[in-house]
Amino acid sequence: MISVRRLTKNYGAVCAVNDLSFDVEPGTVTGFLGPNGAGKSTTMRIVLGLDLPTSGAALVNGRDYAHMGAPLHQVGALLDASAIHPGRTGRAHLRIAARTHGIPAVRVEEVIGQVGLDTAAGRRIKGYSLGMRQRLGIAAALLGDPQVLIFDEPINGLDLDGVRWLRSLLRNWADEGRTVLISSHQMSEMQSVADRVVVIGRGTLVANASIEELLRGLGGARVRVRTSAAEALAVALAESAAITQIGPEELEVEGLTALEVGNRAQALGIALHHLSDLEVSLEDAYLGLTADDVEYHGATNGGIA
Amino acid sequence: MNTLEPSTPIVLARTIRAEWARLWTLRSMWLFMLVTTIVVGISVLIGFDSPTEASVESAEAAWMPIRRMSMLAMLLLLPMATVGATADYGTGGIVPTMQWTPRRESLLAARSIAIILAVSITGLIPAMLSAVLVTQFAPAQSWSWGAGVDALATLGFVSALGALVAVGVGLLLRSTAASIGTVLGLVLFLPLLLGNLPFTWAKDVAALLPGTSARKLMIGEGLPGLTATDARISLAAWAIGALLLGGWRLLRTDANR
Repeated sequence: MISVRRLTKNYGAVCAVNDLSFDVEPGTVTGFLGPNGAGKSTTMRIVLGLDLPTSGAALVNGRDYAHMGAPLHQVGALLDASAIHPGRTGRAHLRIAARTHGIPAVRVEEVIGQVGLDTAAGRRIKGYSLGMRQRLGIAAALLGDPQVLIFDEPINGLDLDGVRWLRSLLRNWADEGRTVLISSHQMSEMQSVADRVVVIGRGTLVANASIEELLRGLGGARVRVRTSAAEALAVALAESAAITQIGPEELEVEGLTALEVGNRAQALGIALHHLSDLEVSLEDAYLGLTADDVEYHGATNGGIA
Repeated sequence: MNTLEPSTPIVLARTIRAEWARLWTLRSMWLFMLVTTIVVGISVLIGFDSPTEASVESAEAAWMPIRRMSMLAMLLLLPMATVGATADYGTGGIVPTMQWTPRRESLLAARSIAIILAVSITGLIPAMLSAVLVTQFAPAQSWSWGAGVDALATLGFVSALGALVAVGVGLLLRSTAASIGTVLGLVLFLPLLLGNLPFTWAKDVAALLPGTSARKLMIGEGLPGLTATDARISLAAWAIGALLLGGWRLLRTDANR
C-alpha cells in the first residue's frame, strides 16, 4: 500500500505538489493521471525517496522508502527508462541492481527472460530502443519480486506485444493482492487496465475514484438518435432527459437509455434511422476534470489549442 | 522472496560490491588503468638508465622515478575518481542507483570506499611492478623493503585522500567536467600558479592546497617551511572537507535536481 499524506514539494518559488493526500490500495491497478507539470513524477520521486518533501510524507507499506535496507523486495519502480548508463550492457545493469540486494545471478537471467531481452542483454544499452530500455527498467523493477510496483509512463515505446504483456503483468500483479501505481497519458490503455484513478492538477488532488465512479460522474447514460421528426421527439423527451440537437435530424439524449428512447419513439409513431448508446470514455472524464488545470497548452495556427 | 530487513553492515557490504561492479563496468575506468600503467611504467626506463651505484641511497633513489611518475599519474587517478563519483549523474543513472540504495549514508560510504580501492589499486600495482622490474633487472639499482614500503604507503595515502577529495567535489558539483576541472585546479594549476607569484599571501595559500601537500609527500619537493606532517594534515583536512560538502549534497538534497 502507498500512502501519501499532506505532501507538499516546492522547487524554489514553484509549488510542484500542494498538500496532496491519497492511498493506493493493494489488489488494484491505480492509474495516476494529470496534465504535464501536474506533479505526478514529483510525487513518485518523493515516494521513492529521490526527492525530499517540503512537508508531509509518502509511505510504502507504512515505511519511508528512504530508510529501507532492501527496497527491491518491497517496491519495484521504473521512473525514466533513459536514466541508465548507456555504456553498460543490460545484463551488467541488472547485476549491479542484484548485488545491492544479494540477489543471485540466476534471478537476473530469470527477469531478462521474463521481459524478453534474452538476445539483447549482452549488448550495450546505448544500442537499445526506448521500448527495450522500458523492458530493462521493468526487469530491474521485478528483480526483487516486490509487493508494490510504481511505473511512470511504462507504455512509452513498447510495441503492441509489449503493451499486451505489460497489461497482463499489471493485472496479474494486482490480482495477486499487490499494489500497482502507473502513470500514463494514454487514456484508452489506462481505462482498460486500471481499477481506480488518482487525478491531480497543479499539484493538488482532482479526483480519487474507481473508473466506474468517474464515468458515472459524467452524467449517466447518453444516447445518439437520428430521425426525420427530431423536433417532435425532442419535445416528447424533454421532460425526462436533457436534449441537445447536434444536427438537423440528430439528437443527443442524456438521462435515458437507448431502450427507453426507442420505446418512447415507438409509442409516438416516430420512425428512427439510428439509435445507439454513447460510450463515455475515461478520456472524456479526464478532460472534463482537468480542463482548468492544464498548465502547458500547444499553439495551433488559430491560437491556443 | 526474502523481505527481512538487512542490517546496516550487510547493506554497506552489498552496496560496496555493487559500486565496485558499477566502476569496472565503465570502459573509462579500464582506460584510466591502462594509461596509468603506461605512465608509471615509464619509470622503469628511467630506472634502467640511472647510473647510481648500489647503496642505501640507491635503494631510495630506485623508487624516486616511480614516485615522480606516480605523482604524474595522479593527474589520471584523480579524474578517474571524479568520473567514478559523477558518471551516473551525467547519464541519469543516479536515479536507479538511489532507488536500489535509498540509504544515502550507505551509498556515500560505499562509493567512497569503492573509489578509494579502485584508485589505490590502479596506482599501486603499476608502481610495485615497476619497482620489481627496476630492482631485479637494472644492475645499478638495489631493493630495499624500507624504501619500498615508505614509497608505497605514501602513494597509497596520497591516492586515497586525493580520491576522497575528488569524490567530495564530484558529489558536490554533480558534473564530471566541472569536477575534473576543479580537482585539477586544486592539485595542479593553482599550486603552480600561486606558488610562483611574487606575493607572500599567494605562497601561503599555495601551501594550503592539496596539490602542494601531495607533491611534498610524494617527491619531497614543495614550498619552504612545509613539513611532511603539515602536508599530511593539510591533505586529510581537504579530504574531510570535500567529503563533508559532497556528503551534505548527497544526503540533504534531491537526488539529481
